[in-house]
Amino acid sequence: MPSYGLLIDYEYCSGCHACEVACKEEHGFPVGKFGIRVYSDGPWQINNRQTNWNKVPVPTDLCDLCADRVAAGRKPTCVHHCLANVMKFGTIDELAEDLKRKDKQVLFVPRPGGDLDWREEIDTTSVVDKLRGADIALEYSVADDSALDGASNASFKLALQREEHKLDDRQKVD
Amino acid sequence: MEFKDDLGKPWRYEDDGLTVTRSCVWSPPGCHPVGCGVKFYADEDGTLVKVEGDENQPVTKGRLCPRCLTLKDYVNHPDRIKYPMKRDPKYRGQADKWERITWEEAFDLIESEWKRITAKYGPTSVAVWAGTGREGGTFMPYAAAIFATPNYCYTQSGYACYLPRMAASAYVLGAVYPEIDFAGGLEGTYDNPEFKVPEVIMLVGKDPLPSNPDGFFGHSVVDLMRRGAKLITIDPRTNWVSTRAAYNLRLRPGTDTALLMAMLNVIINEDLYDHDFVEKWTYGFDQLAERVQAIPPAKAAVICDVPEEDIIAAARMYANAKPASIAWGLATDQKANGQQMAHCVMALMAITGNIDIPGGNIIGGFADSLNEPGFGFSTMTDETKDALLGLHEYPAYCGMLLNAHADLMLKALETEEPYPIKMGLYAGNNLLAGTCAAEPRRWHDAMIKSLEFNIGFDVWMTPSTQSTCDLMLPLTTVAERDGVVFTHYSSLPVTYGIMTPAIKRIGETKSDMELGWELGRRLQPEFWSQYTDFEDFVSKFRLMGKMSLSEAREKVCIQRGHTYRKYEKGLLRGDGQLGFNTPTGRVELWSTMFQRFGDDPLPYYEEPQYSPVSTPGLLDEFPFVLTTGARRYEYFHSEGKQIPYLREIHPEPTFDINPADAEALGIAQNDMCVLRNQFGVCELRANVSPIVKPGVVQADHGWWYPEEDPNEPHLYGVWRSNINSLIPNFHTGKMGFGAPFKCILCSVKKGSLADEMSHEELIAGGYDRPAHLDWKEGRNA
Repeated sequence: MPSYGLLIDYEYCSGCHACEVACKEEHGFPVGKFGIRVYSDGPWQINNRQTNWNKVPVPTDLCDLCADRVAAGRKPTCVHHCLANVMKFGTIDELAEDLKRKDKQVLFVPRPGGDLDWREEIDTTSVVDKLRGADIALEYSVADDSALDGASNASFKLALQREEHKLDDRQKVD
Repeated sequence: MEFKDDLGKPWRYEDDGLTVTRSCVWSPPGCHPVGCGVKFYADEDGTLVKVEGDENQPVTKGRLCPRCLTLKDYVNHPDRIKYPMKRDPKYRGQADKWERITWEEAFDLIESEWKRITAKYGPTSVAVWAGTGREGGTFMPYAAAIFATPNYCYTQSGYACYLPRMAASAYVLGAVYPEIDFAGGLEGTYDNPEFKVPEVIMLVGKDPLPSNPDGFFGHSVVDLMRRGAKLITIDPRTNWVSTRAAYNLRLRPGTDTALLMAMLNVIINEDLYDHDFVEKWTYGFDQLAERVQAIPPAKAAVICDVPEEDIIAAARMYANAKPASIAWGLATDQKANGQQMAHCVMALMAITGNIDIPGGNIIGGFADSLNEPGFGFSTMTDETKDALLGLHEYPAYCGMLLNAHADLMLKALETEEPYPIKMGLYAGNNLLAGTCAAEPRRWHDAMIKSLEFNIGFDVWMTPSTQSTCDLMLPLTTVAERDGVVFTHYSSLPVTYGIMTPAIKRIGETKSDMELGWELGRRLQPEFWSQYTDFEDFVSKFRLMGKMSLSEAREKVCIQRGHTYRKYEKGLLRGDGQLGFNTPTGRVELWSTMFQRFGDDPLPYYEEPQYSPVSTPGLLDEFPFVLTTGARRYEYFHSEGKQIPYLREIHPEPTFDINPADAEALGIAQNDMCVLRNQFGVCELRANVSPIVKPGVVQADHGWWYPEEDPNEPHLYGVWRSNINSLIPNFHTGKMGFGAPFKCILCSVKKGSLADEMSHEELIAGGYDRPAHLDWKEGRNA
């Protein structure tokens, strides 16, 4: 059962990104990966005088609620560095009591993602490049390139090479 | 839950095998000096391995913005300049022609060039290019006390940053800069028994949360809101903070003085002002009352495009609040009509009785004044001092701050009138990219043509140093140096922060103060012999001799306390009399000093030089009102582009455009667009948002691309997205202040610069854009 949460007063979150950057510095997440992200709802106009603009930091799957810092008795780094001082870390029970006292707050209970392997390098090779010069044995293939006319949507005929297998009705193409 | 923290820790201590040094941040990286508290963690090799906010700092209390949070990436960045380098002037703009030299060789070169040039062209042929947010930009000793020149020059047209407000308040209030009382200097801050939370805070042309100028911790506005303060915002944009305000007066850029005169009109006509303060402590109230009849709310409503009922309601709300404070911002400085806008802001503070009271607008006392202007002037003859560029043409500006006039400096560089400028030193300035030049290409061309020897001094190679310098000196960072950071450059008491070296010095870098000290003793030994050593200099120059650097170091951050109602105690005037340090001893609603300088002693509204009202003939070609330079959390002017975590937040420069306008022009979010006016052109990506009203656009400033080709003509892409190219020099107010950075006209068109010019023009102008922007490693090209 989860015990801890992050309470955020989003009436006053100014969207300064301190939580995002403090988290990345603490954990070493690279560009493109985050432990918490600031989302911005707005600005969009309610009427000619009033505008909706709320910023809400949302813990990601990588957030482990700064388990190491908390074990050493310290606050999570986002909470410590928040410029508007709108973040609070604690037990769900105590934060739920705080939630009752004021509106425009949100209580997040992250699933601690301390064991996710975010260090794995993302494969950025194009699927097309991977297939260049690939030697793949196929039972059925396009026999005649000239049957493919890119200018029209007409169906094309497949010349099928029948080996031992019978062609299923479903696979017949006109 | 209870948590451990580092409250009460000494200035240096050990933590889990690391040495922690508590310090206050300033310069570099640049910032408008709040002096946020940090803990620098160094390993046994003296390498900076971690940075955290220092909870002992009484104002920031452990909070830090992204720029300080990434300090270790800045300090340890592989592209930092570590050693002095020289380059033959004929190779300016060629990145591979720099050769490393020693500091001794660098000093020899500086001395021999300085002697040669001043012998041939006179002492006034040397100029110091002062920037902002960096210590070099306020280190006036560079000019008089080192090079024996009067020409310390902040290069932004009309000194359109902070100084116009400082000057106006010196003339109208006799004190340099009223700031909102955020209890920063009081023990216990908001809980101090003397402090009162303002009922209303009015933000006028200021977005303090990302900008924190100039020692005012911006998020204290959030702290105060959570303690009950209500907000009024006066800004063309609906910033996030405006959405929490009771009134958000979204005025047309450049029309602030009309709006403020209308507010004064309401407060005076409805008898909402503080009679006691007006009678005892102001001068010229009846004349002001008569003058503001010229702009009733109905008229301001049309000029400013703000509903009349909102102007009236906001004026009443501000006047009825006890206390109320005004945070006034850069918009005051970035228009020719700025001195008049400043006059109105201070008139509002004065007639409502909110000057120097708890929760109102605090001011500094006579004993708090800066000691920098005039520092070292004994090295010069009267004739040389008198030759300060602009001293006679713009005494309100040059005579007050003893700075050369920015626009007259450009003229001297271009024409050699009244005399040639042949040598320069960059003091915290990246003028081609950043904030400190209008029409930056003119400055680039003029410097290259005119200067025989130009010295760069920075953490990085920048477009400015790459293109115009012949000697490059390596600047050290805050983590490696001693120093003092004071809010508002010491003129307004809040805090002193002490910078203490926390790590092993990187390369052979030096701080501005160290360069000043060493070069000063080399070039002006007699003047500098008054100090026994570097620490003695720091103590006398920065700490007014009140304590030694080692004593100050232990305190880390000192709250200076505050005495309210100094006008009732004889603490504002040099002669100790009651009242204000003005010629009449009162707050001059009718300004004797403005009149002396040839301007109207009362406020007046004047349209920006290029506007829908002044120049309707330009609207066919340039139909948008352009404002520039809204601040961001991730960057400080041109800094931060090479720090990956900061660049990730906002990787490319944008401009704000209203959805209705975007739709009409076929522009979608993030589309590249060309912004153009009669002065210049640039390309920026569109941020389609109702943050601006239809007819108004707002553009990012300070952009260059450190990862791109450093060589001429490309220069790190500094021209491609440079909104300052659209802002002209020589468009100041009567007293020489202000420039239209925040109120001019432009056109917006979907597309890129490549669509607008030939390929040859694109390359020659340095406007070309690489196929993809490769900033993730954060390397300089």
